[in-house]
Amino acid sequence: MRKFWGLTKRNLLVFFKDKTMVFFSMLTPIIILVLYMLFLRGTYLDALEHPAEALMAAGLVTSADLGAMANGLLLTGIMGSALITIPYNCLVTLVNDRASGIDVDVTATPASRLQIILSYFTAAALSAILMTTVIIGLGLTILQCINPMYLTAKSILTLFAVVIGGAISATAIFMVFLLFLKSSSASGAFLGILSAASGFVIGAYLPISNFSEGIQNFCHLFPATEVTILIRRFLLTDLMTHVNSNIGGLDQGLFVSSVEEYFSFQAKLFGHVMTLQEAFVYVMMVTVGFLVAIGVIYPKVYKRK
Amino acid sequence: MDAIIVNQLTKKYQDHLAVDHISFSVGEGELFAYLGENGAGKSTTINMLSTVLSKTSGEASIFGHALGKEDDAIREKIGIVFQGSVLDRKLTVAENLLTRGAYYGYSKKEIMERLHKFWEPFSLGEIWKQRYENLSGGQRRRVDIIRSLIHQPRLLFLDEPTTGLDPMSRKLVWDYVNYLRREEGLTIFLTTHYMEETTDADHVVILDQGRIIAEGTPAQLKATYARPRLLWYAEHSPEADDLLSGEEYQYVADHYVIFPGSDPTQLLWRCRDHIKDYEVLKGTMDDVFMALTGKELQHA
Repeated sequence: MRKFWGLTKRNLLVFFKDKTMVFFSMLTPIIILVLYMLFLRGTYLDALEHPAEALMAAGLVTSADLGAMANGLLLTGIMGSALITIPYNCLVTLVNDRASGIDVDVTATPASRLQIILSYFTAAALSAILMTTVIIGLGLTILQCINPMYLTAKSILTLFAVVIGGAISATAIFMVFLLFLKSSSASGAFLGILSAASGFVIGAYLPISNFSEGIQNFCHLFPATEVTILIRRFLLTDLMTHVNSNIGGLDQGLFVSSVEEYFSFQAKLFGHVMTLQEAFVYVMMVTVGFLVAIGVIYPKVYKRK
Repeated sequence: MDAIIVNQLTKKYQDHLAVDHISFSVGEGELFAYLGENGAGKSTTINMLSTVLSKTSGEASIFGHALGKEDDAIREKIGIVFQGSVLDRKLTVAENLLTRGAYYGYSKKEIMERLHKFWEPFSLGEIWKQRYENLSGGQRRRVDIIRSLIHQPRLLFLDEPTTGLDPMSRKLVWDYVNYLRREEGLTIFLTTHYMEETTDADHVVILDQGRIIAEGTPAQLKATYARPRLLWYAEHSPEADDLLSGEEYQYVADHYVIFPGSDPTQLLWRCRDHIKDYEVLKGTMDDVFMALTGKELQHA
């Protein structure tokens, strides 16, 4: 066990001591924050105000409620992208070790291959969990200070559980891809593509509902998209309930359902709307599948030549 | 007991034989020098013996443990100083050594106890809290060596440990290696580009294109493959050329380099009225290497 924890501790230290790596893992969430301040907030508010015009005129929906929704959507986007780029960057140690020959030093020790690969996974998952839970914690605190989010303790705890599950899931999935990369430049190039594409796939830049049905189905295949939807749901559901109760059924829940439809609050698989439990099971099944793949691929890719 | 026994060990990459049916043995406590130019198969041999690479054929054992069958037992008994550093640049010396010690299952207390003996002779205290990337080349090599010894191995592979170091750092590294041989009775398997570093070796093996082309003690190899040289410091002149007729010689810069066919003292006696300034150089391991391979080792 000491060997495993020694390997894990080393991988954690290597990541957190590299300030550049830590910064780049946060780059996409930072970009989303900047885009939000520049124009996304306006876009979100436009999309929210349009169906709420009559309700706002009647004083049933306040601009504070809409602001809280927009901020919640922003935090969802930040978390969704953070749950992609942070686990990925935490795992880059695996590629860097291979590129620099440090992996040879490890394989020449009595530590078993299972301990070695598990240590990379555990360190990356722990780093991702730590960083993303800090971000969600900070985000929730800031949002609550700006506008009340009406979050219950249950929603907050579920939110943290989803974030932790999302971090583990993304770590497992990316690890399979990174096992095949042999150079730091290759992992850097892959990160570039990932950062650019992930914002669209999870609906951080633009709601997925704006895409064609085929593209929507494609986006929903990714566990990261479903995790983002779960975060969106648990982050905003209490606020939506509050808004609905203020409206008092006058619109028969139309405003909230239209917002949920436009901003993709429903997890789907090939058009089939999944319950929250189904979405969670789907994410976990994919994660387990990738964990099995790691076990199969690692001994083959990292075999002695 | 022999520390290493290698029998017909071979490594083949597709059509390329990197190591070609080599056999040798290394006695416990020996300094064993393994020489060859770049690409000769030195590192491939080390990587096979250290269980990092698999062998294509042949057999080898380390302290009686069969390579390929008892690799975990071998890993417990060997330490490796790789050509390039394998420590983490962003971590401190302390973090590097403590995490590496844990790879062998040791607690922090046990690792500190093991490191204690290096504290004074290796001046570990002065670099303990420094980041590895901030150390000089010599200091990094010092830490690399300590890392390779953290689990108290009985055999240490040194793969070109002084390449790229300045003369002072090279000397320090060798002071440490000699200290370990003296105090710990460590068996050392050395590859190097610096021929003079093999002078104290108990046994030397010279490798060319994956094959062993010569082996023996440095004295045996020099006696067989290197010739003494007489350096005669004088101006290049027809008279001197006449005196040296029948000898193998050449004029370089400000002196004649003569390879006397027989005893150099006979030549010196014959030319005693003309030779004012001279020196006799014994054959070196560089000469041995050049005589065997026709190539000079590239000094980094």
